[in-house]
Amino acid sequence: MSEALEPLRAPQREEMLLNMGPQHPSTHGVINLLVESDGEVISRVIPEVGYLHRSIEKIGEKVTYNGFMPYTDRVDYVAAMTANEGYAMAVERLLGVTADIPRRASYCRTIASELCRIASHHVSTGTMVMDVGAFSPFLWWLRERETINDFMEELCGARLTYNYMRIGGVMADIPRGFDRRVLRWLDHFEPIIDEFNRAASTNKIFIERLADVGIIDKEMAIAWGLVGPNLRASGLKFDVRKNIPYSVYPEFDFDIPIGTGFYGTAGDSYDRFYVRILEMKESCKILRQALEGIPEGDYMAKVPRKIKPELDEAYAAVEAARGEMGYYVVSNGEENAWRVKVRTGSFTATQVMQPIAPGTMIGDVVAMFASLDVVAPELDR
Amino acid sequence: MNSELPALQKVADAIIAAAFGVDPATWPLTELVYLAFMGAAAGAVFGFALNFAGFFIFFERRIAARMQSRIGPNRVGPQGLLQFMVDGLKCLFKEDLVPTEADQPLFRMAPYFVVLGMVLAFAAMPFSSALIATDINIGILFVLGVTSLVVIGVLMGGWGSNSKWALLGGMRSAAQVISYEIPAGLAAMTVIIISGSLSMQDLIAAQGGDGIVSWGIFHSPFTVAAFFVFFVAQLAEGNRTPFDLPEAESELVSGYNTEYSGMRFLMFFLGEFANVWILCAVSVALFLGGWQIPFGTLEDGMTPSPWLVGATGPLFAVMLAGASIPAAFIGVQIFRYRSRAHAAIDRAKIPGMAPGLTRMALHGGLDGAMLVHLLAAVGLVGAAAFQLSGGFAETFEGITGFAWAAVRAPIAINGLQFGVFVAKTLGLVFIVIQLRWTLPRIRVDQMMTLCWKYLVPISFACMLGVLVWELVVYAVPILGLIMRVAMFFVVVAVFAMYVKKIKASYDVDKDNYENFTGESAWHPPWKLV
Amino acid sequence: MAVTIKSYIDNIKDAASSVFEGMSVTMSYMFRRPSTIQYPDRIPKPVHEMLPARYRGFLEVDMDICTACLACERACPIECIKIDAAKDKETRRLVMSRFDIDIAKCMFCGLCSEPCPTGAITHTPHFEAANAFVENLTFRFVPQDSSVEAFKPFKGYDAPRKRRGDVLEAMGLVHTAARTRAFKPPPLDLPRLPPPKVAGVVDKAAKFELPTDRVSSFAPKVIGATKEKLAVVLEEVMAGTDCGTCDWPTCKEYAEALAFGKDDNPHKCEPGGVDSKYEADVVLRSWKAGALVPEAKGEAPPAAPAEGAAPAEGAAPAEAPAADTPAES
Repeated sequence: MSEALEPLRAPQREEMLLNMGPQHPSTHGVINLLVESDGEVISRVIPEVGYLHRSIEKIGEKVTYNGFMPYTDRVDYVAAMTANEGYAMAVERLLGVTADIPRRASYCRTIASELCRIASHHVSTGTMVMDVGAFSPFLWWLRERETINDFMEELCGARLTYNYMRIGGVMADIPRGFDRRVLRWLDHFEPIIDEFNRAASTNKIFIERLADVGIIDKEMAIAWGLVGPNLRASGLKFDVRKNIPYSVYPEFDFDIPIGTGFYGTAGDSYDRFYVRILEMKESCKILRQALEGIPEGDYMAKVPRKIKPELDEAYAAVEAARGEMGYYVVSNGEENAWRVKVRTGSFTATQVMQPIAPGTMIGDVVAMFASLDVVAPELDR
Repeated sequence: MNSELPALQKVADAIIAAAFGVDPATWPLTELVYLAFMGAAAGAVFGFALNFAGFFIFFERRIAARMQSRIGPNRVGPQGLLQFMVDGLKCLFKEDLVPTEADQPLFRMAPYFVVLGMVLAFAAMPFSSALIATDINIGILFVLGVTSLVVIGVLMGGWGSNSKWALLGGMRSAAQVISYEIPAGLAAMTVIIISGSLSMQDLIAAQGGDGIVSWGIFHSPFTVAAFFVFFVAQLAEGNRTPFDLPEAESELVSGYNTEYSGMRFLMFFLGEFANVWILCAVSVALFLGGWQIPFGTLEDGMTPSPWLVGATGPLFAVMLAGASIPAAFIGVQIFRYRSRAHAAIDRAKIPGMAPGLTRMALHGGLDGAMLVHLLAAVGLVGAAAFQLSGGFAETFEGITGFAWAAVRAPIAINGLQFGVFVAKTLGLVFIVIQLRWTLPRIRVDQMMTLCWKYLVPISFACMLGVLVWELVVYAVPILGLIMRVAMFFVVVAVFAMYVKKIKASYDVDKDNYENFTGESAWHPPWKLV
Repeated sequence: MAVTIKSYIDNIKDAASSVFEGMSVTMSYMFRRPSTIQYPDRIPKPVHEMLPARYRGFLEVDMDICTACLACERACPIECIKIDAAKDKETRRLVMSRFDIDIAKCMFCGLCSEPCPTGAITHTPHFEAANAFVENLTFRFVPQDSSVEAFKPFKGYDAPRKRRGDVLEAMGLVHTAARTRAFKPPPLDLPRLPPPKVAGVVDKAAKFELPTDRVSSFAPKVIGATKEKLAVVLEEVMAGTDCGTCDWPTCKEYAEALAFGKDDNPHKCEPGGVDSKYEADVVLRSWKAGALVPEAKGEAPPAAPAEGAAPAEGAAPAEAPAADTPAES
C-alpha cells in the first residue's frame, strides 16, 4: 500500500488525497477508499480493506462444525441465510449425507434463502438510492425488510444472525400459518416494487446519476472475477442456482435477469441496480412456488450429534445475494475443521473500483460503490 | 406607483390621525411613534425568522417521517412541537470546537455571514400591504443580492475549516449559487416587466384586480414556465434537494459545515432553514400574488375594496377568536399538569429562601399564569362576540373618543393579508420539503448542465415571450383576461391530475395492506400512532 | 451524446413527469399508516409479549430439571456457559456448585438449548440488557456459596425435547425470571464476584489421571460377576444424566457397551467427573483381572505391569480413538 501511495505524496502533484472511509456515510461499513482527485474529478481510487477483519476463517478451525454455524451469519450479515446454507452444504458433502437431506428441509432452506435474498436486495438497492440522495425509498424498503425480519424471527427466533440451518437440515420446521402469512405479504410486496420503481428507479435524476456510470463490460467482469448480480448486470447469464444447481432449485421455474443497458450501456451502475430489482421479482416467484409446493416430512436428516468427518475436503457454492458464495472445508478427522475458506463476492467487487473509477466524479464514486453492493464483513471475513 | 411614503409609515399616520385626531405632520411625538413602529417591526421580523426556522425543523422532520412511513418527533411538547427548542438548547450547551489547523477568524465569522444574509432578506419581505420593514424601491434586487451573502459565509466556512470535505462543499456552493443567480434573475424579470417596478409592494400590488387570475403565474404560459425556473433556481440557491450538493451527506460527509458543532452549527442550520422561507416567500411574492387574497380585490393596503372595509368587523372578530386559541391551550395545559407541577415544587429544595414562602410564591405564580391565560382566552372570545354585535364601534368611540373603526380596518386587513401570505408560503414550503424527501441529488456537472443549458435559455425565452405577450395579447384587454382564466384552468387541471395520482398511489397498496396486516391503511397526517 | 431538439424536450418532459410521479407516491404516504411503533412506552403491550415463541432472547435455565450433563457448555461456541458439577462424597449425587451464563458474551445462537436432554436451558423473549454494570449480566443460576442437586431422570423418563418457547406458547405463559434477573438493582460499590470455591470441583481442562488415594466401593461387587451384573454396576457408577457426551444415547447403553467390550474407554463420563471416571476404570479393570487392582484399594500401582493391564488410552480422554460411530437410531 505504501508504494502505491508514494506518487500521491510527491510534492509536484496537484491532486488531493481524500480518505473516503473508514468512517464515511456512504461506505456502509468500515472500508477505506483512498481517492485521488483533482477537484471533483477522480484520477485514482485505491480500496483499502481489512478494517473489519475478525478472523472468522481461523475461528472455523477452532470451533466444532456445528459451532461454526453462527459465525457464518457474521460473514454476511445482510443475507445470513445463504451464508448458512453454503456452510451447511459444504459440511454435508464432507459427511456424504447430501442425498439424505429431507426434501422438506431443502424447501425450508430455499424459502429462508429467497426471503433473505429479497431482504438483502432491499438494503443494497435502498442504500443505492440513498447514496444518490433520495432518502425515502430506502425507508420504504426497510419497512418491507422489517416484515421479512419478522418472518425470520418467527422461523428461527432471530432478526439478523439467524443460525437457522443445521448440518443435515434446518433448526426447526416452518411455523404454523407461516406460508399463508408470507403469501399475503407477497401480494402486498409485489405492487410495492412497482411503486418503488415509479418513485425512484424511473426518476430522471436517478437515471442520469447511474446510467453510463462505471461501465463494466462482459470481458472485464470475467477478468476481475465478478459474481452474482454484478456479473449478470454485465450481460452474462450465470447463476449458481441454474448453472451449478443445488438444493431443490431445479424444481422451480424462474428466470435469470441480466443487464441489457436499461437506460444506458450494459454493465453500468443502473443495470446493476435494476438487475437486483428484477431479481427480487424472481425471488417472489420462487417463494410462491416453494410455499405452495412444500412437501410433508422431516426437517432434519439423521446426522450424528458429534460431527467428525473423515479426512477429506469439500467445496460447496451457493448463489448468495452478492453472488457465488463458496465454502471450502478441509477435515482431518477431528471435531473441528482443519481449514475453512470462504469465497465471497464483495472482495472482487471492491477491487473493480480501481479500473472503473478514474475519470468520474466524487458523486459517481459513491454511486458506483453503492451499485457494487459491497458488504464490509464479507469483504474481510 | 403611489409609494411616496413607506407603507408602515402610512399606517402609523392613519392611526395617529384617526385615534388622536391630530395631524401627524405637525404632532411632535410622531417621530417617536415611527421609531416604536420600526423597532416593533424589526423585532417581529427577526423573531419571526427564528421561530419559523425552529418550527420549520419540526415540520420538516414530521413531514419527512410521514413520507417515510415513520411517526417523527412526538415527545417534547404537544405533538412534539417544541422539539426544536430542546435541540437548540442542546446545541447551545455544546463545546464550541475550532479545529487546531483551521483559519480561526474565518471559521468563527462564517456563521454570522450566513445569518446576516438571511436576516437582511427579511427586511424587504412583504408580509402584508403595511407589514414590511422597509419597502425599498429595488426590493427584489435587494433580496436576491443579500441572499447571495449566504454563499460568502459558506465559502468562508468551507475554506476556514481546513478540511477537504468542507472545501469541496464550499467550492460547490460557490459555483452553484453564482450560476443559479442568472436564471433566477431572468425569470424574475418576467414579472418585473409586467409590473414595471422592482419594489416588492408594487410587484404584489400589480397582481391584484381580478382575484386569483391576476396573479403573476397566470399571466401567460411564459410566466408559468418562469415560475418553475425561478423556483428551481431558488431551490439551488437555498441548497435544497435536489441541489443539496454543498452538504451532500453521502458524498461530502456534511459538506461545508463538517467541522462545525454547537452554536455555530446551529447558526448554519438556522440560516439554511430561514432561507427556505425566503425562497418560498420570494416565489410567492413574485408569482403567486404575495399577500393578495384569492377572491377579492386589494390593490393597495390603504384603499381596499369597499366590501373588505365593511367586512373588517367580522374579520377582526375572527382574528380575536383565533388569538384566543393559543391562550386557552396554554391555560388548559397548565391546568392539566397543575397538581403534578405543585408536587414538583413541593419536592424541590430551592436554596436561599424560606421553603414556605418560595412554595407559596411559586404556587401562586403557576396558578396566576393559568388564570391569566384562561381569562385572556375568555376575554378574547368575549371581545370577538362583542365585535360582531352592531354598534360596538360607536359606543367605544362615544365613551373614549377613540375612532375604533378607523384603527380596526387597517389591522384587520393587514392581518388577513399576513395570514394569506403565510399560508401561501407554507404551501410552497411543503412542496420544498416534499421535494427534498422525494428526489435524488444531481451531480455537479449535471447541476451546471441544468443551469446553463436548460434554465438560462428557458428563462430567457420566457422573458422575451412575456414581452411579446404583453405587446400582442394585452393589446386587447379582454383577450388577456381570457388567457389568464385559461391558464388558471390549466394549472387547476394539473393539480387535479396530481390529486388523482395520489389517490391511485394510495389505492395500489390499500387492499393488500389491509389483507396482510389486518388494520386500516388510512391514517391522516396529523394523527400520532 | 448529441443533443437534438427532440432529446432536449424529452429530457425536460421526463424530468417533469418523473418528479410528478415521485411526488404523488411520497404524498400518498402522508395518508398511510406509519409502520413504526413507539417503543418502549406507547405500545399496546410489552414487546416481549409480542415476540414469537421461538424468539432467542436471554437464556434461562430451569434448575429443577437440569441434569448437569454439560451438553450446553460443550455446545457453546464462545464458552459463555460455565458449569461446575461434582459428585457429592456422602450422598453420591451429582451436585452443581456453579451455573453461570455470561449474557454479555452470549451471541444468542441457540446451539446450547438444542442438545439439552430435558429442555432445561431455553431462550426467553426478553432482550433488554441495557445495564449500568456488566457484572449484572452474568446470570447465576446456582446461588453464591451454595449448590444445587442435579435432576436425575428416572428410568424411561421421556424428556420434553421440545423448545421451551413452544411449551410456553401452548401454556399461554412467558418467562419473567430473566427479566427480573437482568433488572436487579446494580451493586453500588461494584464488587467483582470471586469465582465460587467449592470442594471437589473438577478442572475439565486438565488431563484425567487416575487418583491413587481412593478406595473403590463398587469394584468389590464385580469380582467374578457376569457381564450383565457388570453393566448394572457400571450404570450405577455413571452420572445418570443421559447427556450423550460418551457418544452413547443413554448411560445404560454406555455401561453395556463397556461391559460387552463395544467401548473400551471408561473415561468418557464428563458429568460424573473424577468419581465416575475413576470408578468405571477400576471396576472394569478389576473385573477383567478377577481381583481388585491396586488403585481400587487406594494404593499406587506397581510400576510396569499395570500399564499392560490398564487400557493404554485411558490417560487422556481427548486422545481417545475417534473410530466409534454411535448408533443414533
